Amino acid sequence: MPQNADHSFHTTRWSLVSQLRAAGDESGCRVALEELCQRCWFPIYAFVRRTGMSAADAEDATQGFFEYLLTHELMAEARRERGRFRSFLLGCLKHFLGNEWQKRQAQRRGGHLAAVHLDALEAEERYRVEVEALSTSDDEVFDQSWAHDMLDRSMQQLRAEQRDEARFDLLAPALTGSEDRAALMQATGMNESALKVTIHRLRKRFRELLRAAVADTVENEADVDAELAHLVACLRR
Amino acid sequence: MNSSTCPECGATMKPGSTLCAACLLSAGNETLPLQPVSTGIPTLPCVFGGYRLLKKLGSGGMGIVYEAEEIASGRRLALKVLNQSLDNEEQRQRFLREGRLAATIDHPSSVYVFGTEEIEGVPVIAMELAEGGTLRDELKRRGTMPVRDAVDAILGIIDGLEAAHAKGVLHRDMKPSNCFVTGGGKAIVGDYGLSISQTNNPAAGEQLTRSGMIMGTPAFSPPEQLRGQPLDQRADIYSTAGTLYYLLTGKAPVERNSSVETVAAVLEGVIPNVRTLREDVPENLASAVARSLSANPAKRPANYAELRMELLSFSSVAREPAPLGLRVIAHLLDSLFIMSFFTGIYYILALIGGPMYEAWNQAEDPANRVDYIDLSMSLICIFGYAAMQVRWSATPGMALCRQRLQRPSGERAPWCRALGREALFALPSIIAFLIIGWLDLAAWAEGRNVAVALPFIALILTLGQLQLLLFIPALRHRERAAWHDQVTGLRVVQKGLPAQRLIAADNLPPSHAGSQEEWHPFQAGTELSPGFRCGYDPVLRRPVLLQQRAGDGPSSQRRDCSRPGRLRWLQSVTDPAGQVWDAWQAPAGSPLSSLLQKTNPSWSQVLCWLDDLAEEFDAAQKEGAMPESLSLDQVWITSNGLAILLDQSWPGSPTNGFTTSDPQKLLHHLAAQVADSERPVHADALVDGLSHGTFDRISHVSGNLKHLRQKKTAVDRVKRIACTTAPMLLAVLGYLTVYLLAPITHEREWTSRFPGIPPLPDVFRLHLQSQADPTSQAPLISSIRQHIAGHYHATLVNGELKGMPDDGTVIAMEQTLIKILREESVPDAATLATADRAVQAAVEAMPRRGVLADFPLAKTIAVISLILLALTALVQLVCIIATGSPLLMSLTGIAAVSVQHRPASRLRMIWRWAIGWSALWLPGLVLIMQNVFVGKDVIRHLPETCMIWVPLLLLLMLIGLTFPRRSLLDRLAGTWLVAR
Repeated sequence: MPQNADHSFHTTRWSLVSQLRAAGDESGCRVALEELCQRCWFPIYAFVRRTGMSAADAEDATQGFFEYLLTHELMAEARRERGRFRSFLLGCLKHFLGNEWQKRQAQRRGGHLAAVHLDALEAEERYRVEVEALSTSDDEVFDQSWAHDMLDRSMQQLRAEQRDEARFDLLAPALTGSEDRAALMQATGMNESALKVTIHRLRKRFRELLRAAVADTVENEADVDAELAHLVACLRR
Repeated sequence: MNSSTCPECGATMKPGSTLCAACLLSAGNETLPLQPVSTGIPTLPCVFGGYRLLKKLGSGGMGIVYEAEEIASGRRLALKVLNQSLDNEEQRQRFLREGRLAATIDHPSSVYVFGTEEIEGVPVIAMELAEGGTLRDELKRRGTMPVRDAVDAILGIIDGLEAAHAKGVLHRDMKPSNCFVTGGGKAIVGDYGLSISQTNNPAAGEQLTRSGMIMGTPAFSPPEQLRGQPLDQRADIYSTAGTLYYLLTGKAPVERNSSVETVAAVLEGVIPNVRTLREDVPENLASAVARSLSANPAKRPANYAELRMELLSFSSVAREPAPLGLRVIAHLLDSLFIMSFFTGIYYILALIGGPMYEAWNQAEDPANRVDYIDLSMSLICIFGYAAMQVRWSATPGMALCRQRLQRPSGERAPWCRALGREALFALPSIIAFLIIGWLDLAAWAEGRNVAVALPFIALILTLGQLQLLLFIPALRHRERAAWHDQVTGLRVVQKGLPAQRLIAADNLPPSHAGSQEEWHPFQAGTELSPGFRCGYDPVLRRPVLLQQRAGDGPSSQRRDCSRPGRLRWLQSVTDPAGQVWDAWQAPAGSPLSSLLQKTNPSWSQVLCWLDDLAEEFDAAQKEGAMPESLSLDQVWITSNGLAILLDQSWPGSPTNGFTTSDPQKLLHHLAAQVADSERPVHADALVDGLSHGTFDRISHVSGNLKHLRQKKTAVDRVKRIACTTAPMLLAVLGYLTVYLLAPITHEREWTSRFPGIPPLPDVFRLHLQSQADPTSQAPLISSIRQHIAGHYHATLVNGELKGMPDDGTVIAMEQTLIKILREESVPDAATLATADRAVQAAVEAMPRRGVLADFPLAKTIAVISLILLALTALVQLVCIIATGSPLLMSLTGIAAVSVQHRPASRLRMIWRWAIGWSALWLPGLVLIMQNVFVGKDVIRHLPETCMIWVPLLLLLMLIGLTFPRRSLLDRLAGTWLVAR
């Protein structure tokens, strides 16, 4: 099954997984799932770390989880699961840590296959900066990291699309409406109407990208707003 | 780690990040419109015009509210900035209209507007900062509130909304996030963004603040608002009750996932009862909330006063316990009602007849040792009273005396407790009557003479009132709880109305009549005195006071002062000559001294002002912001009836030359404005203390005043009438009994004049009866004629009757008697003896007349009723000598005062007693004098005497009702009646 490069607004990535699963296309399903997993390793790592494992164990467990997830063993499990990718993943992860991981640790001979590319140093650095001091519950840590991941990806994409990255950095505050317009006009050299138009376009494109990223993780397009609202609520808790 | 929070939404920001993730994510939400591109307010804190913006407090339909610091004065305030995407002339006007509406209200329970201005072309409104946030924040912080706290908060809101309604403003968006909490913890009304003025023409674009928007918050809006129907204060009452619902349960009355569903649910009007969400909410409170949340406005409380009355018993303001005297009166009234009720039933049964009536009469047969009828009546009373107390919290007597039975928490009495309490109360009398029945005392007393019967009746009366012993523990109880109240955990409280404040008529000079010269942002207005002007704020359309600055101007504490007892400092302005002026709030109202010239305020009104001033003095002393000298010209009474302390005398107000630096002296001077003859006796200690300056701190005065405000300050008409009517009724009852027993008296008259023969009226009655059937009764008729002719022939002299007892019965039979005496010749002795025997037998066979004539204790009762009347007078006299006040007046909390003494001296009270009781004894005196000087049978003239006497009593009663403080009796005795 070929990958749909432009983000279809009718078939989300997660619904594609479900469809492929239903059609029994195991290899296509695995590719789509793998791609999804590649994007979301950090929330999983943060959650695992949060449960009290050392950095090395957490890395092992994360890789172990992906391996476990991507083998056909879990496909049967995944088939029963419908709804959002985020909750599916968290459910699986909890199940994995509760049962499978202990079993596997006991039988463990040598290192794991790298199921997903994971930079252990980067992961630990991010964990210490972003998560360690949070007083929220483990589940919330997962959701918050997930939200940041979604956002970072969209921001990176948006930044990559801009011709002038330095100007993008100046304009970025406009995305939340907290820009100082007079200073912007001075810094960018644009007049007021030009600035207005630029900011408007930037906001529109940001919204498209963000929604597309979220859409990939939900069953259908209509769930995007609810998922966004959930993530916002997580961050504002 | 140095994580910070987003100034917009408060979310924790990712370290090192300059943008808030939550805000960015919500920008992706499609249900929100793309945020308009605007200059916005840059990162906080920042300087904006003359302010330093510190924190975003919230955003509404029209603007964003920031906590700000006024750079020049250092004052903290809330700054509402118009959302610039709405920046056109029409929106600008609407934005300012909100400020104007809020500025019109000017009440301590409503957010105060300091002023408006334009900063960088953007209109802003500077408002009072509520340091405690909103009630919604409070709930988030504390969780659901204790019932008393929630009700207290809502009572504050009701005050604010009532003041708004008095100015014709409907809020239309009452909800927890629009109720602000001041630094002192008081809840006040804010955000008039959706409000309308009902005094304006509603057609002029006033209905909607932003077109196409759902007006208000659907979860707190009444159905009529969602339907777009015309609204009145009951719409705000609905939303206020919704706010209370939220404070109690943490949930809005209607909560659904989407606003469409919410609107549908509100229109449907299905709201779960508060108690289903929180069990410890008192049932009455839950039903009051449910009633205020009715979909039908007609079912809601009609106004704020009604809503306040319903909520008051659940607030932290404790209700005064009912005075014991009034409770006794309520009990007596109830007994009276129940007696009339059963008597009514008895007569109805007697009319209908039948087995029930028979059963009743049989049960009253002395042969039955236990009086089942009395017993069942007692049971009916117990159940009936308990049912009334559960349903209406009062029996009829209690309701008349404005009392209410409740649990100490304010909740209505539950069934089992009310029943238990009534049973405990009735128990002593039931036991007493059972003993009387069992010992058969009534049968024993029957037929005995007065000397024996009198103590017996006294015993019955005493046993009947044994229940009064239950009240002994109440004498020393803090909440005046009697023994049966304490056992069942219930309390009887007095329903009091909050004192009505005297409202000052607005007479502040209308400033726009004065100079229109611009002193930005005000107009110069009218000069009141040199350096003091009444200016005008053309944007907020309200007057302001302008005072030329001398020296450094007001201190920073004075400028920051936001207490209701002081004028608020608005800002400083510069006149064209470069002089600096301070602008002050100018509340509608008038100076106290000119108000006193026009009206005589009552004690309760003065008490409110004393309380306001004492509170202000206390705060000002602590803060060091007391004016140097104090006088009555420095007290301003607002149109809400609040007293405000001015920093200097109001120019041109009539002065009485009294100035002092001691706040206690000023308070005493104000208290002395109420005549001694009006001030309640309970206030004497306070007034004395103030005059001698004996209070260590002004806060002690304030505490005393708060206590006094809970007490009754005036003589109640109902109590006054009770005091007057009780002896009158007793007198009327006494004379009535005497009159009804008169047949016995006239019988004695005839037998003493014509001994050995039956009284003539009886013989005459026999004659009338036999006339009905002349043929069969012919022998009797002839015997009667012979009897009359034989014994009474001497009374006919020259065709007229002479030497007959003059008792009215003669008049009725005069003509017939004369006819018989003329026609019949005097019989011989033998014929007369035969005729006498026949008549004697027939008279004895005839049923005896007179309502009470057959009653064995009739004579006793006649004597007792007169003795009772005399006894009451005597008891009153003894009470006056012992306590200085008659019994009923002591019980009802009324005291008499005279010019020299408070309360009046005993001698004066005895004089008053003598006048009062001579009026009651008047018929008796007339009768006795007739008897002594004319020697007539006086009782026959009782009705004629009473025909003059009863209207006289009614007139006296009417005078008492019209002038409860000074009836005719008090005028004659030189006393005034005041609350004790």
